[in-house]
Amino acid sequence: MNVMVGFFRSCIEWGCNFFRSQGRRQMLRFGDGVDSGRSKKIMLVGQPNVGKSSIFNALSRKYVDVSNYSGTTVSISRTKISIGGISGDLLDAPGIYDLHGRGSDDEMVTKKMLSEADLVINVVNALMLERDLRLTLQLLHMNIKTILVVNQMDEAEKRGFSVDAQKLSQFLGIPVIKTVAPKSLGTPELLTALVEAVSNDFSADSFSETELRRSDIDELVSQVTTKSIPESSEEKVFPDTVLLNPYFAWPIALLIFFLMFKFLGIYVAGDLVDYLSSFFGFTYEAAVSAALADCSPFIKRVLLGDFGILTMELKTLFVVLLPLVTAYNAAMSLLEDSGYLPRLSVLTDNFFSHLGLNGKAAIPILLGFGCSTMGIFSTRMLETKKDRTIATAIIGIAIPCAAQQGIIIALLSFTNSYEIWLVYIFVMLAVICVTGKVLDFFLSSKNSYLLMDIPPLRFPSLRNCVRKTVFRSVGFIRSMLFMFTITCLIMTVLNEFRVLYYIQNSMAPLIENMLNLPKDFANIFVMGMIRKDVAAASLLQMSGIGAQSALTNIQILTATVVISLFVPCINALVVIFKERGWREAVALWFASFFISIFVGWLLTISIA
Amino acid sequence: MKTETLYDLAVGNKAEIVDFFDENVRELSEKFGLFRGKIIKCVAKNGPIVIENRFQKMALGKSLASKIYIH
Repeated sequence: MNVMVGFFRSCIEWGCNFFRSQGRRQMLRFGDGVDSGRSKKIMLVGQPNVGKSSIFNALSRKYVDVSNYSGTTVSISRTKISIGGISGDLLDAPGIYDLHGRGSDDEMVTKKMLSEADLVINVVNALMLERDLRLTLQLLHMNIKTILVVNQMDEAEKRGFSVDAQKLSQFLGIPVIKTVAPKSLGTPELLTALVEAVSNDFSADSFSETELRRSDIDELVSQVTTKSIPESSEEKVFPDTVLLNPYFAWPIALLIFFLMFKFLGIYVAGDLVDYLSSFFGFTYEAAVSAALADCSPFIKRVLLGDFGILTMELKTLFVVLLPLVTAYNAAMSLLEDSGYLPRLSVLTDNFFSHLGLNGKAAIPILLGFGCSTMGIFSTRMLETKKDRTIATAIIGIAIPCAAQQGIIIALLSFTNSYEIWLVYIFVMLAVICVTGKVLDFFLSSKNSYLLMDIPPLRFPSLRNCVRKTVFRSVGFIRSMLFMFTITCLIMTVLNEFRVLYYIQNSMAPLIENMLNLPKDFANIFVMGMIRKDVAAASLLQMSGIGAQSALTNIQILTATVVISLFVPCINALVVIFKERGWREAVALWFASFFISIFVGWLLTISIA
Repeated sequence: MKTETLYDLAVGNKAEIVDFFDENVRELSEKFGLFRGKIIKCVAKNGPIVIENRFQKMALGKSLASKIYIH
């Protein structure tokens, strides 16, 4: 008994610490109410996709997500750094276009943080100085101590374009450092400039903006830059003539997603998970059972039972979900770093315009296929509240996360029926379209304009892809471990006190009569309210994959559709609550519950 | 004459931005470096129009591109 009490106490303490640290991290991200004492606040500021997060990583030797498209950083990240004996907080802010315009909520937060900064590192893209120096001049106009970092010098040099940092520095009266952040080129010089800036109380000359108009910036750029090759040979146009061509772009997109499906669904969800499962079943479970042979029956049920922490949880987490999530993260890292996602936005703009969105929504929705919480956070990159509400609803209701997708692919593959596949895809697309259309109708404001940067296509850096994959996969395990343990304990306790039995009986009319599924499916509903991926994994076990299936093909289809559309998991719900408010979070929860049952019922009666 | 809009620009052609439909459109465009007098080139039209402004490539939806006047 003491062992159990100790175990529960450690779980609760671990959980409290986890949520405390999550809460602190969120608070730091939003930058509210954090008192840094006497330490200096150094803030990275610049337009989107100029490489602020890469500079942050290079200076702090920590990792925040870096990708080749605008809007990767959607909240303020912060870390402690020590420069020349002076400690400071280094802050990475989301991209900001203008200090004076009517910006988004995030731009407002950045502006507020800016007023508290002791030093600003203004990052600009070497190839877009005419655009980016406008912000620099606005910073100088505010008398903010600034260091200018001209990043992506490698891209500029590839096009025969060079920047005279000394001349630019003389003109602006501030230090100017040239960098290639992902390769840490220029980082030592930046650190030296930081030490000098932090130690000395230099202040930038105040610029009057009225003195520096557009033509002055153009003139300045022409003075500090030189080109060594003619403009016609600057760009390799071949990939974009294909990727942005209306006839080639769709087949290429379909090919990319087919390859991802093949990789995730067949090699990872199929072969790799099967191999790991057999190893886990024969070796690990036998060893754990032998080690706990002398424990009391109750502890055995908690640790090794149907919802056992050491068996069901660890098996699902490390054997099924982790390989799938890691593989998905790796595939997405390649797409993100290559610069393909903005091109996909261009391609899907027409489709999304019918749902009250624009093509930019493709990025958060695609990220939602990795993890709903990440997708919902990324809706911040969308311009209007209407866009964010519709994209959040689509992600919350109809986008299965990577862990679920792998299981869904495994379940549907088990039916050996192309018709089942087609019906599943059709139903999910129909729900996405109806959700978007209905919300577009009720949120009657005008559609936002599509205006987005198309970054150059780059060969993804293997180092960054690996770091990003590991970072996200570890984040997944960290967020999952506690919730999964809680789910298992709740299910064991409900089972122990026969509450599951009563839930099953009370839901029997709904599950057996309306959905034509066995009443055990009630357990999956209960788990799905905490984590949908856990519920999907239980459905996989319930279907008896690998042995003779306990469910018919139609039942597998119905169950898969219902669990795909079921309520957002607790983590996603917390993020929706934070991002969109409690009204939208509650409305989305009930809407997804009823939609999942209604669509499942509709499917059952249609096929019957 | 403000009849020709950015969306009318054919792929491969260049034009100069001469005006904007209203202040909202001007403010949004200028954030992305699209000022009056800028010479831009259309590189693709696949629903949205994709243009090049020196080294910067960007996509504009039809509704926005139809509110930027070119010459």
